Amino acid sequence: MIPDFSSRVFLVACCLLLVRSATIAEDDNAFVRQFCLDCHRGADAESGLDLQQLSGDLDSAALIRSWAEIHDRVDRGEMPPVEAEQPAAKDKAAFLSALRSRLVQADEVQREVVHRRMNRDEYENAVHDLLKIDVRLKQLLPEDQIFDGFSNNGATLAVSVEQLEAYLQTAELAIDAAIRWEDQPKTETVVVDAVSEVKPYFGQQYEHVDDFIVVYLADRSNYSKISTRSHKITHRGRYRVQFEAFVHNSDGPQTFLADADGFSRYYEVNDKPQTFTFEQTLSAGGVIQFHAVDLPGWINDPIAKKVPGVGFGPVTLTGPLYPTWPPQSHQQLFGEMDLEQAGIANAATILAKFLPRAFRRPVTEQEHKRYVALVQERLDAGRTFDEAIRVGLAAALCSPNFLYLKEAARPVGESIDGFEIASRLSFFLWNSIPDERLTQLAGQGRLRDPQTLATEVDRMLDDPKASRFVTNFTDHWLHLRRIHETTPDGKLFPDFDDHLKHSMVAESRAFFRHLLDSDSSIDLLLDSDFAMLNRRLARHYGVPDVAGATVHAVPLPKDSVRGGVMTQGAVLKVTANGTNTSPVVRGVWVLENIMGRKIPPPPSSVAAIEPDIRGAQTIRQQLVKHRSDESCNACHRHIDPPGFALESFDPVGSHREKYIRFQVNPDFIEQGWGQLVAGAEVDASGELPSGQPFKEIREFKQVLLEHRHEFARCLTEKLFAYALGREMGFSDRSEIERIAVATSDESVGLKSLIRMIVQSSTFQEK
Amino acid sequence: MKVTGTRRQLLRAAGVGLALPLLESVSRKAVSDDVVAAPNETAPQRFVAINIPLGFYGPSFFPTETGLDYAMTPTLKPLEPVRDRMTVISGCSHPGVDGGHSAEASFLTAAPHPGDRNFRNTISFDQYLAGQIGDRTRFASLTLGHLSLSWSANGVSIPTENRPDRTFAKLFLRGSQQDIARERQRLQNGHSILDVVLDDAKSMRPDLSHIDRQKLEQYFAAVRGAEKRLAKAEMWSKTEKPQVNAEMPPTLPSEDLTGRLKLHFDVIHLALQTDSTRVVALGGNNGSLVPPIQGVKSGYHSLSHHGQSTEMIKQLQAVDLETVRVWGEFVKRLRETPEDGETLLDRTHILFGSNLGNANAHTTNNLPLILAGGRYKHAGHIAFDSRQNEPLANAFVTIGQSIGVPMDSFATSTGTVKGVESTSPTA
Repeated sequence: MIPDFSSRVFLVACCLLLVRSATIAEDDNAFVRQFCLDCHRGADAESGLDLQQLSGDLDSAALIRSWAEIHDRVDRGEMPPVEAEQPAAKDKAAFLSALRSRLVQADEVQREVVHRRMNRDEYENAVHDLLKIDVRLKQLLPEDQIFDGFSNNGATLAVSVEQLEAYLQTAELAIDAAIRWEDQPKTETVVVDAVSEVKPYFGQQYEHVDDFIVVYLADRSNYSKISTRSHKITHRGRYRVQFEAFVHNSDGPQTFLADADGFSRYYEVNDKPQTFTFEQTLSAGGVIQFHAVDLPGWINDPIAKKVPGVGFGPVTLTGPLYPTWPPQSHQQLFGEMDLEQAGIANAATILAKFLPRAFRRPVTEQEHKRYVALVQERLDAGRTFDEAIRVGLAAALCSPNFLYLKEAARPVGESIDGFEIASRLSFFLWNSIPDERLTQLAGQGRLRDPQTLATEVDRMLDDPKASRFVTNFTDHWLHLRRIHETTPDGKLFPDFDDHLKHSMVAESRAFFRHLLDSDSSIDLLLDSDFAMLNRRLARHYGVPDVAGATVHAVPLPKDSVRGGVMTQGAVLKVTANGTNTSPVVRGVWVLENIMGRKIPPPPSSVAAIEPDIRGAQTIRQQLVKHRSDESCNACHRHIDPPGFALESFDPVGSHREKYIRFQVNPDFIEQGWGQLVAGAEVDASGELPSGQPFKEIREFKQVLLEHRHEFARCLTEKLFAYALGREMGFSDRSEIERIAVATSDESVGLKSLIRMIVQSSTFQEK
Repeated sequence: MKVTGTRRQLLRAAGVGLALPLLESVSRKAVSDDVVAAPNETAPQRFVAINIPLGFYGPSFFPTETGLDYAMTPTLKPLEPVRDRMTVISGCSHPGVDGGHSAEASFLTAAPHPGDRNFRNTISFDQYLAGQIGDRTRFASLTLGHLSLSWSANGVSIPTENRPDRTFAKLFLRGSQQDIARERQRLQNGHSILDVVLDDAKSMRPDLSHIDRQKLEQYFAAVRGAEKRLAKAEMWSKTEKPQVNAEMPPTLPSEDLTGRLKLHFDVIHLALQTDSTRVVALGGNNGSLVPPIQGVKSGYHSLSHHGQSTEMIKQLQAVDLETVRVWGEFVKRLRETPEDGETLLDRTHILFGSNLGNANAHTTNNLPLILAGGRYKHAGHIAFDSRQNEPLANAFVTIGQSIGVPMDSFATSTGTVKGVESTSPTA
């Protein structure tokens, strides 16, 4: 509410507020009265923003967010709108500067939440790294709340009864997997073939050639007759899988999928029999299945026609594999302890080692005693030593000391301690707990040294665990986690298949990884002259001469529309619904994830645009109508242009010049037969609110590059939000700005950006 | 009942146990008389919510006429035999609940703007009811299906069970002597663990900021809640699980959306019949797979974005029809199940509907909704204003009151649903 200055009550209130938090002061108020209130007042205030009702008292995150939005809109010159009375430059600057300092102050007061619990991914990784096991746990935990695109926001992540019940259950499962008193399961090598299952079909779509089963047709289902099904795996564990494959009747390459217990690996093979080997954890009853994915779905009498086929030899399965026995998970807890002789003293030793690792810091004597007492209490209740120590370990996994990233309360701007930095680092780059070296450095107080930090970042990014950072960050930033949400319509997009989907996600992750490893400029995320492709994606994108099933860096043709993240298949797929595209959805995606703008949801009073693919009107024509309404236009003039630029890509990310639709042949309505017909031409041109026009996506990328600073700020902010598990506030802006500016130097690439984030005061301080 | 090789795993997933030697074959009646039923309780009332997240193709769902004599629509046709026991409601939605598919999270909570970047959910109606009447049954509530409709008071999603065989095991599978002994040990261990972590949390308190202390309070509340549930589980472990004359449900492929829905309904029917729970929330599937329904060749989710293509609408209607048919069978079965002179349907208040009004445009108003069973004077088709929708939370209040829970508001409610009269003696 805009206070009435004449009132005595206001003065009193003002004094009180000065003590509590920053408020909107008199000068700002004059500015707001003169330039904003005409439209933003009363029940029918523009955009529903009634400044008379908006408290100037900056004592909640929501109010700070609203005033920050007002600050930004005025700062960017979007408000007051061009047709309205404009403030003098110096008044505007004074208003912004005053508002800014109050927002910084208010935001620092608000920024208290640091105590965040691990999310499901972090929990699973932490338990895995702590106990050195690999059983899947996260599907047993409640889904995490998402805030601003990320699932690790400490203020949002809550704990419920269900959660605690689930922690009790997952702790028990994890400990069962870690403790192995039994004799080592025998490692066996068996040779398995699928002849008995395939035999009845030899001479049809299968053939027996030497020792190989040759298949001539691709089956789109997830069941394959060529598998290890005839051998039942009785022990869960790690297995080595080895087999030969080759292409029959052709010297061209073929791709096949080895699906081990739902874990997919794609390989390319040619006419020379080649040996393939991989290791994979298989559950009891686990099966490896083989699918030749590029073969046609149907050919009459393929054998007589001598069409290409893929031959699979018998599979040599070796496992379960244990580098040591008892496994490391067991040894690190018990060493050479004799279970028969074990007593409470052993429990004390085990817990003294285990608790500091679980809690990521030294434990107090009191804490240690508490857990020893728990084990003693269970022994007294008649449990065996094994049963009692399991309870002690399970309790540690349910403790707030384990579940929360605990940081002590201290004033804003004060440095956090070494162990807290170690945890911030490891949860950022490994999605999990610190390792021994990090803890050691923390103990020695060396994690504040910029050089040590830089070395540690490099070491951590070289570790296999860094792939969790790449996966998790891109899953949330680029929305890759939504890749399975829709299945593209088979009639409209007959070329789309699982292999393509798999390759798309691999491309986006590998691209980010490539920039990270090579410390390349973040500008490449906007546009690049190369892409990470395999044969399947290259075919999809129309890039010639790319071989292999693994995505790798490939130079793009000069005039390619690809390059950068926006035109990657996965991004184009997650921003479409499987049937059609909407410039609104994609526009919002670009604004929020590339340009760093936050777009309010549409007011529910406005009728949504209903997709109509019958071809009478393009979505663009519908949007033009929508934008003729000034209140719609306020947001849509920002949203639509980037969306238009991406209109030249269909829901599966193919480049298109015309829209297509499926037309049913009137003679076969019952069967639903028909063909694809081309409709209206795609118009991918647009004009940004700044007045910059672009004809199509390539020009749009150039426009973004001219504003590279916006993207640098956006990416820096996203990385910070992910790294710290909190929303970046107004008071973080100067540090974000400083780092974003630094990235304009070509020598400061993605890895350097990570280093700078870790070395920043925002990362090092509360 | 057939017990398969995975019985041990199922038992474990099923959690609590199991028969004590002296308590063989306790009937449901005995259970409800001796252990469960509150004194003076008459006619237990149940609540079942079903959300079909992609909704229905509106033009073939909603009747044109209002009142009792509406002409049956193509999609609702399978419900003809139970039309006297249900009310179709149109022009109803949650105020401020927008955000397309994300509205699913608010179907039973009414929390506005679920698609917002900083959305936080609130308690769902089923969990509110479970808090009121859940102590009378072995399970306070069941959260089933593909996507969870249930949210705790602090906005945490309650995990859902999507495998009917697991639900069945949890409800009915009995263990051996050894199993029960182990289960009771586990529950006792649980108590000891909770004691220690509570001490941990207490000792964290001094050096925390104000807001962090609130977070820790949440943890305390969760620990206390978990303790209560352990205690309840221990009490129930002394009572044998009810015996039912039914086989363990089979596992169906995930593309068989309506087949799986039917299996869920089968288990829900058994759960209600044995009074194992009185509150069930079943979240449907918005899956992208092609369901094995005659004439359907495209993925369900894609069909919902039909873009007015007649061919796709036809397929979508086929999925809608099968969904309604399967639900209708469930309603009929409840009506065929007698209980103390009434039928199970008389005592089961069912809300069937969707969080989407029109999936093709992702709109969240004018939701397709049906209130069935329970203690109401059913009214055929009630149509509220398609522009100024009736708050859906009003239906929650109507249902809550009819069930006998004293409440006069829930979230964004403004009253009860006008036109649906409760025939409950308490309401």
